[in-house]
Amino acid sequence: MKHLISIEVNGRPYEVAVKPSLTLVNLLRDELRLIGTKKGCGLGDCGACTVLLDGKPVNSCLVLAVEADGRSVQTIEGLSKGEELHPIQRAFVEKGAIQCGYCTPGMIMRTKALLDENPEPDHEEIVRALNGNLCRCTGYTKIFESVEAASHYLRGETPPEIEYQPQKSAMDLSVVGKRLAKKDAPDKATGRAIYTDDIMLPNMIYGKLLLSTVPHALIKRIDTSRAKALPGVHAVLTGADVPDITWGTSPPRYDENILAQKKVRYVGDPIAAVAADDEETCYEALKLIDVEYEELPSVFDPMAAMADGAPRLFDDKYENNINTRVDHHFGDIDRGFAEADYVREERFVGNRTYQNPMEPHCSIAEWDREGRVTVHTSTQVVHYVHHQLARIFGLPLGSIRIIMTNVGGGFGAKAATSPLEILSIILAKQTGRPVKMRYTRKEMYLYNRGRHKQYIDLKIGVKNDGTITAVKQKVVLEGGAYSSFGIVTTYYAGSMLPTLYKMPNYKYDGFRVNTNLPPSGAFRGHGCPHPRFAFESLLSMIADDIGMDHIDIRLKNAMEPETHTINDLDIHSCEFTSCLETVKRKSGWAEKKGKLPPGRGIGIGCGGFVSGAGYPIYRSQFPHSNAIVKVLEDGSKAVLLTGEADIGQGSDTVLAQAAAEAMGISFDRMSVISADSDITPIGFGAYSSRVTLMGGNASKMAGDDVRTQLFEIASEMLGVGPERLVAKENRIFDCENSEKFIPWEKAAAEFFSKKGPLVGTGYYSPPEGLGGSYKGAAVGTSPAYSFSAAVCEVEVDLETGKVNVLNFWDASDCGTAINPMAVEGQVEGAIVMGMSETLFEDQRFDANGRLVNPDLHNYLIATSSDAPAIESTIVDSYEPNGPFGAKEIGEGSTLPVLGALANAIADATGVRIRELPITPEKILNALREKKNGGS
Amino acid sequence: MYIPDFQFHRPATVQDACRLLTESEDAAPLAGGTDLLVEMKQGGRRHRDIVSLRAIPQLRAIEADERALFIGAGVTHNDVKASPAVREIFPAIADAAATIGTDQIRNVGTIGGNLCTGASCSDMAPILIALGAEVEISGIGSTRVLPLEEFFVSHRATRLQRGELMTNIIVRRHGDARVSWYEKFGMRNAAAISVASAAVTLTVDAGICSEARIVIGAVAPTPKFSAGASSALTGQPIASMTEGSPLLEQAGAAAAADSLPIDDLRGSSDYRRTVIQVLTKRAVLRALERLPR
Repeated sequence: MKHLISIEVNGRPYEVAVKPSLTLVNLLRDELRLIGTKKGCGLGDCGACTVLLDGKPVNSCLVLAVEADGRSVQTIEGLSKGEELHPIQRAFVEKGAIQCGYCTPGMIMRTKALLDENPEPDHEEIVRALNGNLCRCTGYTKIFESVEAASHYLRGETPPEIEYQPQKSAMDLSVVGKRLAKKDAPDKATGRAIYTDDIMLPNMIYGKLLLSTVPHALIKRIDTSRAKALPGVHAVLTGADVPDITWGTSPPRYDENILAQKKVRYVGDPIAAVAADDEETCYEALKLIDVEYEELPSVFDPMAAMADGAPRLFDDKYENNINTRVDHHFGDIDRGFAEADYVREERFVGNRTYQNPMEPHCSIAEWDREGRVTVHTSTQVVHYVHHQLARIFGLPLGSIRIIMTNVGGGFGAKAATSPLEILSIILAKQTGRPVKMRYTRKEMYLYNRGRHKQYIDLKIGVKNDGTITAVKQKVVLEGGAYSSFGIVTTYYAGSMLPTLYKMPNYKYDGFRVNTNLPPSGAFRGHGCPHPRFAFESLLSMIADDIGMDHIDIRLKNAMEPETHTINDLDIHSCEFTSCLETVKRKSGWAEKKGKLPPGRGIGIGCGGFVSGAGYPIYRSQFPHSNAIVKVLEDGSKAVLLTGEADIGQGSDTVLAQAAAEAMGISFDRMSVISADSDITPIGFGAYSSRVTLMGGNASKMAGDDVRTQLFEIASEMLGVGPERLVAKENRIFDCENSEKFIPWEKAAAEFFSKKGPLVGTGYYSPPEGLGGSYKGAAVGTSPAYSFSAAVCEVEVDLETGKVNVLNFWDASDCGTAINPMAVEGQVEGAIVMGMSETLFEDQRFDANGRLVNPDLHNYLIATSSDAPAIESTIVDSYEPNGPFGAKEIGEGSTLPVLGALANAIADATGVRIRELPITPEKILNALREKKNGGS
Repeated sequence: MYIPDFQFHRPATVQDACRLLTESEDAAPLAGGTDLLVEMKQGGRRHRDIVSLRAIPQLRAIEADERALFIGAGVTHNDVKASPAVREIFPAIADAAATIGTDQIRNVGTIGGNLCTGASCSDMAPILIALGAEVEISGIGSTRVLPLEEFFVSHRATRLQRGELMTNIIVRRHGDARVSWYEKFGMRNAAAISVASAAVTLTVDAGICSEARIVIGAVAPTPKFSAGASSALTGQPIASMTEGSPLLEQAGAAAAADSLPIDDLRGSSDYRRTVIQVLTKRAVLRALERLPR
């Protein structure tokens, strides 16, 4: 029975009849169509759905709509007055507090309640107020600054300006190198930004997946008849109803079925799909599908899985469940160790972590009458999804249109095609209706594609002066049931070690092993964070052993510019030494190292990453990044069309800055359309930290093309040869006489009048022939490499083992920072995510392979109360292969964090934890062991 | 993940609520819903009838007289935390309320809900038991009062009978001579379930602890009064309860000995035993800092 309720939303009274089971968030989103309030977890753990109920912040997913009867609700939509942003929204936009934007409406509403109650909160009060709103992108730092700024605005004051010293390489630039607010920030601050789940198409129905409840089994029988008979159900599919084709991420390892064909390999493997009028009916239908399993022995531990006689996940491939084997040897490892004065070998173990973007995956498919299908989806990689779907369905690219909406974070979780994209298309075809499919948080964890847990045996040999003579690494990666990105992950785990320190001899053995667990994939830093954690830990241990300072041993071996590494990678720009010197100075290393009281410690860690993979995921001759700039007929604006994916990291903004700089127009004249396969040219998307360099080069080239064309007309108008013309800040002038100019838009309008559309194009492919000729040489190649160093200071409670991370000082060589504020945002986010992974995160399974913490209640990620104070520096650098000298930042900034934190904990406690996460219990056990005379 | 349909009721009195809960074959009371709705969404619970307690004003009152503090079972954690009466008379109750979940949870979750869920990791139970709180339980035409300590049977099982509601939490005053502290340990700095917790109440008379009540949380099937730790301190001079003192060590060890912890995601039983010792010692020290100087 429905109940009639009266509710005031943003000052407007509503009378609505609601089912008692309807939650307030669903009333707001589905019935009142106020989609600014976001759904992140559905269980009251993330705060994305925060609204004010009678002025107080609540999780609207845990309030029944009937319980809001007679009460007032404020949502993000009620905050701004017409076009004018509320001061809190303005502060969030200006201070860079918004990345993916999915937590933003809830965060802003929580801030509203705070400032209503306490107009001038101190830092501690801000931190505490926000600890019920999880953010995975920003590291909270800029959110704190925004709340402070909002407090100033609301009190009629101007918040203090951030002092920023521009890099040398950006001194003469007008748009690049500026701390500009992101293009999408105002829409995200006001709840207007559309994410896939915000879309409701006419006549749309919903789809859900039936997931395996057992870890390893043959499917003897599936009976869908009862599900099909349920009123409201429109389609029920099993493996027999979908193309019997394997798909995946890396072409040599396509091993997933669309729906299980006779066999399931982990708890969570998709078996069937249903489409129904609403999700509730889908769930009811799923319960009516009878699956008869014949259970098979399963294996969850990679070492056990590799043993002879272990249960096999695939009968026809991956002998001993070894899905990928890498055997690399550069130089002569035996000679290298023989030359060493000191050698140490240790085992390190990583953890199984999940990206946890705040936005759950969602896809909507709709076929038109011409036989074309349009898919709206939350993805990082429009083109790869496009390519994979075309392959699966045997269609040309032109018969599928992929539209990426705003995406609420990815970090690798959305870097490949998902079952939602494939099955929404099939269900939409079957039913003739648009079909929306979305994951719950639990389903996200089961789909996984998170970080591989790695078991690392690392051996380093050094001379007495710290010079590295040889490195040997053996890694076993626990891969879960399918390949996903795993082949690449296995190569990355080895190939990136020689990019940071010079090593003359290097051997790497990699084994990726299948287990009956959710598939692992590519997570920020792809394959590298655990080996880097191991390396940074062991290097510091060795420094202690030979009596050397931890920073000095790194300086001794630091990578230098224009180096060809032992594994045939070409480093160009490299300011690693400058990074090390910067964090040493800023952290007060010399005054602190070895001089802090017990329980307090300081540590260093370093890292770096590729600025885009040198080769695409599938064999393709297409340029990796492409751009079109279309100038409006009156010259007032230019529109950048790019296939690259802005998942919150700010690529729309950064690419527009590159194009604007190239054209000589100001940033406010740029608009961007990105990632719609019908409209924008191919970009390979947001993975491998490739967008700034590759998309930036393509966008710059398109901008250069526009400028070159425009100069022909301007030259006629000014009577000056085009070679003497300069375009800057919306003017075109004679470089020898800047008073001789015409407004940019005037020249553009003249161009259109005489020649028609002013359109520039650009494309980028990495230099040909990157990398060596050995097997797997492609992984790790890149046009450019980033470098970073971080110092961390911690306080450890020696009685409970609890770690409090106090400070991080980071210095990054990302080349020219196209948008320094966005760079800081990446660094701050990476630090908090990295510390969260180091201290808290771990997927845990029971004896039957069931994930026991598939939620944000038991799988903890860092809150605002856990975040350290962060001071980041962008060092002077210029990358010849990058647009205006730019390189990547997003993944490289993750890499130093784990090691820096582990080293700081070791410094504070005197014990070394080699297995992630570094929990209080492990620290305490190690302390006890040490006290009892162990090591 | 969804909430299965149910019949919704919103009685205006405790008696009507009890009647609905009695008459239905399968009813659950809904207070803040921060546990109930989560469990329903996860498929762990399904009910024919849900009885909302929102429209019963009596459940949301906080009152104090010269004898005792009365907290309505439907008072939210944040209202407990902010209540001037609570803060003045029993600040440790306000402290404990502040450690629960997040602001968004504390604005809807209730003190009665926290107790009636019956979780061993309840953050309200240890301090309330340490303070000797009683709970008022109402049924159709009946009201009984029992010590909170006796309310818990085992993990997620309480003495609440079908058709009954917890209506009030009653904490008797003991004057300035009694000080309390709640010490919680979670895996992160906010919104963390207790790995272990310790609540301490000390009555101090002329430098002697005339009564110590120490309650440990999340380390046994229910929040548990630690007889060993309590008796270790009772009758002892507070001057001997200093950091690192043998007496405190003894109390901590006794608390650990009284615990019956399990191994789970958040820690092993062994670790919990270690932490409960530390928390017990700290809670005593912090409570003593509250003595008027």
